Parts: sequence; structure tokens; C-alpha cells
Amino acid sequence: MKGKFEPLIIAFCCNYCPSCSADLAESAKLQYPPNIRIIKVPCIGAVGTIHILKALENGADGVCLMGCLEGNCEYSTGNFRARKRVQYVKKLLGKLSIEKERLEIYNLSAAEAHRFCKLAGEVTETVRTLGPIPLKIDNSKI
Amino acid sequence: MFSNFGSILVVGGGIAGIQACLDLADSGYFVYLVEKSAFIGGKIAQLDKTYPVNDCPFCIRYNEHMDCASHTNIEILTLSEVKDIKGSSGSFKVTIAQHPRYVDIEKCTVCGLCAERCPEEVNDEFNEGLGKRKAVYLEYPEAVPNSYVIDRKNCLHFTEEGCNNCREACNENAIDFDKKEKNITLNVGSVILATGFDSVVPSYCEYIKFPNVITSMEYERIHSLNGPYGGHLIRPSDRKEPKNIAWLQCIGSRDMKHNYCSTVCCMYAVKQAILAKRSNRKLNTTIFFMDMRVCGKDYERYYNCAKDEDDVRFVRSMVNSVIPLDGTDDLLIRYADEQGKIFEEIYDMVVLSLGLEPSQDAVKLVRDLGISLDKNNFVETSSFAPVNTSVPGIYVCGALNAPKDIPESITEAGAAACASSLNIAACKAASHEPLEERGQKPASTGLIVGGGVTGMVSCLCLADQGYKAYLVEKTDKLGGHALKLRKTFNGEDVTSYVKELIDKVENHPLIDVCLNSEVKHTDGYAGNFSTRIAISSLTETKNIRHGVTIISTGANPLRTDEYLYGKNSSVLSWFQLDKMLSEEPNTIKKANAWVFILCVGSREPERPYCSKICCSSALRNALELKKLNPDMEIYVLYRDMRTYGLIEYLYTEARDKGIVFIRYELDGKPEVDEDQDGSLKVRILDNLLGEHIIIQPDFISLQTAIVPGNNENLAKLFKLPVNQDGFFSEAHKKFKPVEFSAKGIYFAGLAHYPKPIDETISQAQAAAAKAVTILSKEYIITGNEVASIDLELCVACLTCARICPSDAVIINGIGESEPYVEPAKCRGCGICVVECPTKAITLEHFKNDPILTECEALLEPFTEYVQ
Repeated sequence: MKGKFEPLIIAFCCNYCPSCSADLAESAKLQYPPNIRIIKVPCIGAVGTIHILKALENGADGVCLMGCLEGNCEYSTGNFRARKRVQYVKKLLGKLSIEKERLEIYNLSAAEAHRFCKLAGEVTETVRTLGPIPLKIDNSKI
Repeated sequence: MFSNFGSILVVGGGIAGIQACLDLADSGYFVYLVEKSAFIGGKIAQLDKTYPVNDCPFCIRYNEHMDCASHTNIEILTLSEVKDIKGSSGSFKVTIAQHPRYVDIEKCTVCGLCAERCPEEVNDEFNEGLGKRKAVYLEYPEAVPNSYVIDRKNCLHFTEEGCNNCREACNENAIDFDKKEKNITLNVGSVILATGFDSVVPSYCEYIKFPNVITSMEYERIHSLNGPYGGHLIRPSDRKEPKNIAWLQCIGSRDMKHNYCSTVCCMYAVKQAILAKRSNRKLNTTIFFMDMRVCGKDYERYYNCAKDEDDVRFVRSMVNSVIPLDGTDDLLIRYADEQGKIFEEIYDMVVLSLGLEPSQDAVKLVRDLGISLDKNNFVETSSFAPVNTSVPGIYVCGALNAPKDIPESITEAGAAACASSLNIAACKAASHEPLEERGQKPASTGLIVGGGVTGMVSCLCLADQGYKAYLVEKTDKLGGHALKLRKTFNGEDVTSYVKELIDKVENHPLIDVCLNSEVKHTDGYAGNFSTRIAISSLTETKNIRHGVTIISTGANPLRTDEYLYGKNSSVLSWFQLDKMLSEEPNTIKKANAWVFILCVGSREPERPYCSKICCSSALRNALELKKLNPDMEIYVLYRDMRTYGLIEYLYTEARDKGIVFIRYELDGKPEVDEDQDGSLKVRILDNLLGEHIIIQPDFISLQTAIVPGNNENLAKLFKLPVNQDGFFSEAHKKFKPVEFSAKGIYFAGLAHYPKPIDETISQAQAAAAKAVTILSKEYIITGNEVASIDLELCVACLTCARICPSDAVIINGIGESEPYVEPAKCRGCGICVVECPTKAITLEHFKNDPILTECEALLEPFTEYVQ
């Protein structure tokens, strides 16, 4: 591997507000780093520990969850559950000696295209400074 | 072929028109939607955000636009005008002229090559003339119908002969210049007019010619992400970011020509100021206003937020001139404050909050149809039939009958749909939704909780369409608070209306009235609810199976202890004054002075909402008092005079009749004292004089806040959300004004928010219209995205049942049925899938494998960095 390190980040986006914001950013031709790869989920509460850990195991350098604003969840408590789960997974990451900052959760409304782009930039920068995830297996050496 | 006789014509494809179409089409009626312009959607697509939620209105309404375009029961006729309507209710013959689009909707793939090649650039009306578009254009990428259109007025093919660039560019051969205007004749049973409003700059606003004086709609476009400046807040003259912006209220409202309030301007100015401030914290925003009329649900909170958190400056004033400053593009505003002192301030940009006028083309049509208009050209309606025009069979909704906000327009659209469908013979167009395996017939019965005017109107709407309705009322008689009211704001007799209504409900064969009864338990889902009702006259409870529920439990006036209420018998509240007016006119004739105190308990820290109806009702009663006793001195002590919409005329009339208005602030409330003999004394600071004055009235009327009834209990029973003030919360504050987020349960009336009787009735009708969309279905429709439980793995730990937000997981006791997810209730959130400790639950379309595969596929590294 040569050149500058470019992190890969999986963003789980709730199908309601955050996806709207992402779409809005796209239709307004706003720029956000290509490092962010979006997976739409029916509710951010439906993102399990397995999804986050598998993403990291499969080579993501960071994972972020984008849920609706607190109190605005279509399914009333999905985003609170997700927040709790993120805290739990952060603890697991600590035990695995992986930086907790690689995982974060944000709350967005449906109209925050600018904020979506800003957050995408921030997440990318944070993970970039952390460097590649220590889990990454260099296939060429096997 | 089905007969078109049972169909309905909707004129105007704005938000109200589209909603009316969808409500009717979902209930199985065939609808024609006639729209003057090339695209449906109306003004909503131009708006940047909506208050008080700051959502993008278009994002939320887009699905409705698409539904409207693809619905089998709706035929959209764009670029069409209604020329003539003949016939009578139940059988109208409508002549429509349809202008050619020149682009075939079926063939156009919206590739945009035609616009690229088109040499002619013109001002873009969608961006209020701030940007440019070509002569062949699409208003915005998501416009419906999604096809380009040629603007004949500007197209070089027609103006200068011979330009065929677009036709040559089109790979699909979609462009045909030979299309001619068509005349279409339709036979319909009812007509709904929903032509909306225009915003016209009044002639006295000469300063609109300065480049940095813009209209509110231009501001919306400037601030909009898909607008001419890409959402960048800059002023038109030099494209610089303004440092301070002023909003001038009541432009084209509340003046000599427009004797009405446009209702929406205060709130949209507050919204624009908040959003401007949030995009640039250093910006100074000032709103110059007369009265801040923010009387909808949660609007007061939004206004408080603007004042306290977003630092928007509010100046109560009259602006007399806007003068350009030489050498710059800045503007000087000269205004007089409340005491009449003159001030001058300089602003970079001035936004005019334009009022609403009925759309001019529509006024001509309406007049030709012989429908009566008021002096401001709004269609006349009565409070008791808020969507009926003077011509039977023709209905009206939206801003054509009064200036109004989006939620009220949507509500009225539902009401118009309900009223117009009653007018049609039973020959519905067939609308069979695709059959589902799990299909089950819905119970064709409605349950209405609360027997006030709202409940009774909803009941009658359902029963008149042939559905059985149960009306559950807590007390021993129907009518609710309306029994104690005398007149509406417009002076119509409430007492006889309510009597007639009760009579109709009690004698309707399909309505079962349960007095002295209460809901004890309820369960089920849209189309199949089962509810237990306790009736005090019966020892046993009664079980009802019903398809829909409408909650209309109303609200009550606050019992206050302020202003000596309850201690001095001359201090009256709401119904006491009504009673006195009808029973003791002689006492009134003897009185010398009367004081009305408004905002008693409303708009205070513990109740930060406006009760909406107090100002208007106080003025109506004050005018009644003045009629009985013209010599009486009447003082109205108010904080903001919120006679919104057409009720403004009451305020004008009251001032003409010599009623004195004194404004007070929250920290300078009037002080009421009594002498030993019980005579009253009111002390208040008069802002005009700057001094305290003392009034010695014979009576004081308090307009106390409207507070919700026992909503908490019902909320628990039906699992419904209530807001912090205790009123029921709708699914969306702006766009779903009669629905809860749970399907099949609707609400109407004061249980949702205080509102006058006409809005209550239209909401009751709209709730019924929504209910019919479920009752009229052949089968209960369930989504595909539902969870299912693998019984091999399930250990019945109850985790899923506890966490399911829709209560869709059913786990019965041992020996009864196995655990399962009720498909009609499941909304497919996937929370149970994740939470299940044994991973026994799967959700269609959200299985682990595809998600993990997607994850892997997305994690392809950046190729350009890999050598």
C-alpha cells in the first residue's frame, strides 16, 4: 500500500430523517468525502452489535450511525436504543484495544444537508488522524 | 368501462387539491385533477422549510405527489383550465380547455438534452424571476408529472418560426410542435375548488422597485438549497452576504383594501428570521410588526424560541417609509414605535411579508359559476358547513375561502372530500388494491369517542356514507360545550345548530349513541379494533369490533383564581357571559363599563401556548354588549390582538364602535381590586400614555386559557402521544393534521388544539374522510416489510413484545396460540430483530446476510491510492 491513507467509513443511516438529509445533500450537489459509504436501515435502532463489528472486521476504519433527532423517532425509541448500543459496543472496542472514537452516533433532522456534509467531513478527519484500523489484515502477506 | 358519473372534479393541484384527490381516490372515487400550470404541487415546492418543525416541505410531500400521479383513480390534467360548469349537484357537465405540452409525457425520459440545446433563456417563475430557465423546461428535478414542457410564449419555434433544436436533440422523439389545444368535456357529480392564493405586492409599496427589497417568496427561493443562489443567503443587488435584514409585516394585509389578516405571514417571517440567524449567527434580524399572530399549535413556542434563543429582534411599530441610501444598495427604514416616536435604521436587505389574495383566475371562474364571494373576493362559507359554497355540489378548500395555513388547508381538503363524496350516488369506481394473502375484511364500523359537535359531525359523515358508528359520550347528553355557546364569531346561531345536529344523530338508524359510558379497554389494528365500553346503565360491559377510531374528546376552559375570579360574582368567565347575554339583557343595559381581560392563563410560562379563540370570541361578545347598550364603555385589555384571517373585520368593527383597546405586557398584568361594597377597580399601564389608568367596571370578563380534558387516560388506553401541554400529537404537525402515527386512529376538535367551530367541523369531516379510506377497503392492506418469528428458536422471553413500538408481537399464555407478529400492526422497524437474544426474528428486506454483503461490497478500497 502506497500513498496517503484514506479511511473507509460505513455510515448506517435511518431511512427516515438522515437519509432525507443525505439525499438533499446530493440533490443540492453539496460535497462530502467519498470515504463515507452509506447503508440505509429501516430504523437506526435496527443496527445491531453484529453489524457494527462485522463492518469493522471487514475493513471499515470507522463506523457512524445516523439517527433521527431524539424524540423524533418514527418508532418512538429506536434512536435511544441505538445510542445505548453504541455505548456498549464502545466498551467492547476498548477491550479489543480499538479506539472508541472509531464509532460514533449522530442525530439529524430531515433537512440538515449541510450538517450531514459537515459531520461526514468531521468523521473522516477523526478516523484519518487515528490511522488504519489495527484489525486490518494485509492479504498480501498471507 | 365504468361510468364517470360517480366521479369528482378537483380544480387546482396545490397542496389542498392533491390532498382532496388522494382522500377521495383512496376511498374508491374517481377524481379528475385540473391544474393550470404544467406541474402539480403548487406553492409548496417553492418553500424552503416549514414552521414550526423546520422540515423540508417538499421532501415530505413528494410521496403524495407521486401517489397522485400514479393512482389508478386519479387522472391529472395539467395545463388545463375550466371553461364552464353546467348542470346541478350530482350531474355537472364541465368543459375544460387543455393546452398542449408539446412534449409527450410517456416518452420523455427527463434527460435534459432539449433544454441544453434550447437557445432561448427566460426568467424562471419558479425562482420568482431570480434565476433563468430555458423555453423548454422542468420546474425542478422532482416535478410531477416528471416531463419537460415547452413554454409556447417564449419558444422560438413559435415566436420566430423554425427553431427545431429541441426536437432534433430529443432521442426519444418526444417533442411534437403540431399538438393543438383540446377541449375536454367531463361528467362529474361534485366539484371541489382548491385554486389557492396569489401574493400581490400592493400599489402603495413603491419601494419594491429597489433591488434589495424582496418579497417573502423571493426570500424562500434565495434561502432554498435548490434555489437560484444554491441556498447561499446573499442579497440580489451585489451578491454580498447581508449583515442585517428587516422583515416588514402586514404588506397587503390589514390595510384599507384588504380588511383581513393573512394568517401565515407572522409565522413565516419568524421562520425566515430563525433560519437566517441559524445560517449566520452574526446576522442581525429585525421583524417590524403590529401584532404577532402566532396562534397555531406550537407556534407560540416557536416565537418564544426566536425571541429568547435565536435573538431575533421584534419591533412593534408602523413602518412609514423605506428609502434607498445614495451610493450604496442599503435601505433606510423609518418607523414609528407604539408611542409615536420616529426612528430610523439602516438595513442591507428588506423582506416584505406579503399577504394572501384569492387567486385572480379563480375569482373569475367562481363568479361565473354564480358562487357568492365576500367583499375581499374570498368564497363565502358558513361556520357550520365550512367547505360548502352557495352552489350545491360545489365545494371549496384551501386559501380560496380564507387565508390559511397548510395544516388547515389539508384539513379542509379532507372535509371537502368527505362532503363531496356524500353528494355522489353509490356508483363508486372500482379500486381494488392488489390482493394480499393475509387479506381480511375490515370491520365497517367506526368508534367515535366524545359526543360534542366534533364527534357528532364525524359520526354523521360516517353514517351518511353507510357505515355504522358508535358514539361514546361520558356525560348524560350530547352536545358538549357547544350547548353553552350562543353565537359563532360571524354571529351564526350555535344553539339551534347543535339542537338540529343532536336530533339528526339520535334519529340516524346507523348511529348507536352510548351515553354515560367510557372506554375501558381497546386492542387491535386498523380495520380490526376491539373495544370494551362500560355503560353506567348496564351492569355488563359492551364489546365493539370496529375498523377505525376517532378521538374527539374536546377541551375545557381553565378555572383560574386570578383577577378575583370566584371571589367576586361580577368577574365572569366564558360561558357565564354567554348565559348573561341570553338571560339577563336588562343587567347589561344598566351597566356603565365592562372590561375584557385576554390571555388569562394562556401564553404564560406554565402554559406557553395561545388559546386561539379568545380574542375573537371576546370581540364578538363585546360587540353584542355594545348592541344591547351602546352607551356602555368597553375596554379590552390584550397582549396581541389575534383576530387572524377574515375575523380581522371584528377588530375593525370594534374600533369603529368605540371599544377601547389597551395592550399590556406579561410583566405588567392588569391589577384587579374590589372595594368593600364589591365594586371593581382595574389598574393598568397604558402604553400610549405611558401612565397607569384606573377603570371602574361593573363587570369583568376573563378569556381564560383552553386546557385539554382528560387526555392522559385516553392516551394510555389507545397508546397515543400527547404533547407537553396535554393535547394529542398528530403524526406530522404540518402535513398530517388529523392522523396519529398509528394507522386507523384519528382525532378532531379541541382535543388536538383550541380552535373555532368552523375549523372544528372541517377537522371532524376530514377525520371521517380519512376513516373512510380504511373502511372502504375490500381487504385490510398490510405491508410486506413485516417481521416473523422462528418458533424453533423462540424461547418466549417477551423481549420483543416489550420493546415493539407498535405492539405487534402477540405472545399468549401456555396452551394458547404460538407467539407471532401481527402483520397489520408491524411497521417493519427491525428493532425486535436486533434485540432478540436468540435471533429468532427476521424482517423481510432487512436480513443480516444482505446487509453484511452490502457492507463488504461498500468497503472496496480507493483504487487510485492502491498501486
